Amino acid sequence: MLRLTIDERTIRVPVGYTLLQAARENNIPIPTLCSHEALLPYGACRLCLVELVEPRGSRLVASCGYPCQDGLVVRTQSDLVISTRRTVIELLMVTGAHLPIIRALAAEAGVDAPYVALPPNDCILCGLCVRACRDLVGVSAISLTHRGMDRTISTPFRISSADCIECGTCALVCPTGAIRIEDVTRPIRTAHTWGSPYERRACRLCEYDPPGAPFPEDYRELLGMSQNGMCET
Amino acid sequence: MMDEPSIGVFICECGGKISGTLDVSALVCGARELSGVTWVGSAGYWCLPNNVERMRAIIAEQKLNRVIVAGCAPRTHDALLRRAIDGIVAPNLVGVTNLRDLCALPHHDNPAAATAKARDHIAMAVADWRARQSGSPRVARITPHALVIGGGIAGMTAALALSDADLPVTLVEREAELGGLARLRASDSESAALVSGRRAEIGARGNIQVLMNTHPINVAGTVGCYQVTLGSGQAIEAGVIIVATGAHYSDFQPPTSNLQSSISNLQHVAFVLCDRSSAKMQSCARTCCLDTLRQATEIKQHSRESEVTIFFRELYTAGGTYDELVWNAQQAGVRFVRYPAGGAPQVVNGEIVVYDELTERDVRVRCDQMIAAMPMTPRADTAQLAAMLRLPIDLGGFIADTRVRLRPADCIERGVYVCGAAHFPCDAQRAIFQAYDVAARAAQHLQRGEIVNWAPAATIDAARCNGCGDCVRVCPFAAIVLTRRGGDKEGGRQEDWGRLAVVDSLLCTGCASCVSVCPVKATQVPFATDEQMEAQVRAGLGQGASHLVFACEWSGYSAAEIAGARGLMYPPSARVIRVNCTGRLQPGLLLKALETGAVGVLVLGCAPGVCHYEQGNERAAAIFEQANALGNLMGLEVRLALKWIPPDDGEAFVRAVSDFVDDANRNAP
Repeated sequence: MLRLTIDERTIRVPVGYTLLQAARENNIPIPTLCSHEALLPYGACRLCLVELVEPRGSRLVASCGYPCQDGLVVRTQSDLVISTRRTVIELLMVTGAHLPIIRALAAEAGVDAPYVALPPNDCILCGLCVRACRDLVGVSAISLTHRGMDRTISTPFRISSADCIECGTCALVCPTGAIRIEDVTRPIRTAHTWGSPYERRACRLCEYDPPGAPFPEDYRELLGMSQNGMCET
Repeated sequence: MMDEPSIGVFICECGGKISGTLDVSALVCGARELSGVTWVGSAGYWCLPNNVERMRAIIAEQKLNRVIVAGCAPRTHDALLRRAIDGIVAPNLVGVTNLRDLCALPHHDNPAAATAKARDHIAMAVADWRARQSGSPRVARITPHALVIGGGIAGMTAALALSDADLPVTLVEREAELGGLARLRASDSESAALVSGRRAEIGARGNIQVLMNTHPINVAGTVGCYQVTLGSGQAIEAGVIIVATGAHYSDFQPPTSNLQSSISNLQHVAFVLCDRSSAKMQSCARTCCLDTLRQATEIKQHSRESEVTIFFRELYTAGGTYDELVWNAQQAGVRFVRYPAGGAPQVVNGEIVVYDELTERDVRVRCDQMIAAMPMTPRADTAQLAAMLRLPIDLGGFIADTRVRLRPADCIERGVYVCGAAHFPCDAQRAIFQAYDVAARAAQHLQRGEIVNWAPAATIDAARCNGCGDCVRVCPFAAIVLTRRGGDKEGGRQEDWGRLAVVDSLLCTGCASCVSVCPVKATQVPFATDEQMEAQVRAGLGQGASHLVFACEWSGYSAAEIAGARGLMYPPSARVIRVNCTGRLQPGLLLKALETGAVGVLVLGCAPGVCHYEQGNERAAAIFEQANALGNLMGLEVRLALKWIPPDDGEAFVRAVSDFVDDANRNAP
């Protein structure tokens, strides 16, 4: 067991705990957006920053990924943490000021408006959906693509992904509700019609494919498909 | 294996998300009284490592053999918990039931109703788990032997690569000689060397058995061990099948003598290439442009006085060093004329006439012999072989991969691979690349030794099965076959008594469509049995009148979780039963739910055409109609509804449930 101090409280946690896990176990609130219990820490949203008091001064660390050590002194509500958290929220508000969850965080931290505003975007690029798709579902249908301002969550080549099994886990874990399955399976809600001549196949988790069962006629029409199964778009 | 259920219910507070709405201590007390429950407790986060350790200790101390964590989404936490308590309790007896997204968050305005709903949901989970039996995983041993069908460049390369990995290989060739398409290029010294080199090496290998003049006529067996019967009568057992049957040129006559003697007296030769942009990509052989360039250059080099013209629309020379071929042809003095789109060359009085777009006039070329590029088409037996191996065929008639862009050589993860021109028209270089690729995958597959599958598969009780074959017809995965029952033929119709349905448990995906149709209840899918479904219905309706929702885990259930996670509100009287596919339901079950006291029964499934089990939702519609008709016949006031829901549409779920609850309440007696 390790002994550490969080907000003047001495707590004991087993080896291998992160600061966030230690805080959660002791009901010390730390806001997070990109952390998920079933996934490894990633440290994208920076909301969980806490102050680590060390002999040579304080520094900020992301509590979701920082391992507990014996004798650590951590502050989650110091001036430094609060002002940094405000900055983080302000940055999130640049594109996400319209999102209820960001607005709630802003109201709690007392942030009114960001210095600059960019076109609103539901996605905060926390990568939670990408990690869930890879580590929980095991298919990696989506990933973080492009760099800088163009960074976005997308399927490869921005076409609908034949790897998506339409389980909806990405939509479930998304903290802002930005994901719709159409984003992954665009242009239409079935994972397997990106203009290929191949018939729809079974779920990849099941591993096995059935002999090609054709779409019912009325559904082909709905999907804009010709008789041979080709997508006409 | 029958064991007395000893269930542990671990109620999670989820750091206040659950305990903020639900009365956790009341839930703990309520759960203690459920039959089969040995231990109940709550914690802030059961998924924290410390608490997982505690959970392990409690399981060992209380000798629990089933574990329910009443907390958050099974989709995200099932795997985590199963991993955490691996080895203590069978993975299929560990699971999560969602209180957070189904009970706490959507009904946070009404803690009393939310707690009542949570209590029912825990009771439903306990009833479900109580009826579960620990299963054992299905194991398929992989026969360490590879069968390569087709002895062309691709087949020979794959066989040699597998032989290099010390794996025994049988190579089957339809013709009397190895070499395939590459043999047709006798004039091309490179091709000849490729073929003869491989042929010699295969002969020298001890672990490659070559069977000539024969081809597969039947494939039996399943993942791990296929039994392939050949036309010659031999039977081969193989864990891996590599299809390298190649393609052929339509109407191609192999030259009787070599090219040089046949062209020696030609003065004016014209080659005509296809209009690739108007032709479908599928029919591009990818080799004719290259061959034409080579042959044109050769003719020109052979007799400098000859006039050689290539009529083309698009010259396809991508890859490798093929661009050199164009350069060589130009150097040798071959003429190139590009014909316009839709303006194919015409033959008029021994002359080829074509409109040249660059000079804007007709070009006339004298011609003694015209050589047209022929498309490469699949062999006649490709479709037959694909059907035997259950491989998909693309529009051009070639064998398709399932995921062409991201996993180019993955046909299906079951030990059947395709390479070479059987896959798509290609030249020797590409065929060799593919052959190495599939050989590597095949070797990996063979070296796994066995496949272990924990997912539920249907079982058929041989004592009950009457051989009617309904399950065989309904199975979307062809996982059930009718076999001849040995011996027992007393009573009833002999033809029925003589048959028995048998499930191939590795092909079965556990959709339970067969359970739904079986007239004698011989089919069951462990973890979705009739007892489990009925127990859940009884538990869900135990505390008074409410509405029952059968939700497909791929759509309705998923949408319900998302609705909860977003905090959307709907009437708290709805109890949600998760089913893997709505096609698993039975009219009897729906009516039984009404009889048990449900005010209404709602079925939520995936939209038509997007079922994860191919046709489960269409079957659900039929089942629903049947239940409706039966209910009307029986004079019941039918309060059933069926809705299609996208998996990510929380709003649609809320709308469906709210409308349904209103309607059902209005129609309730």
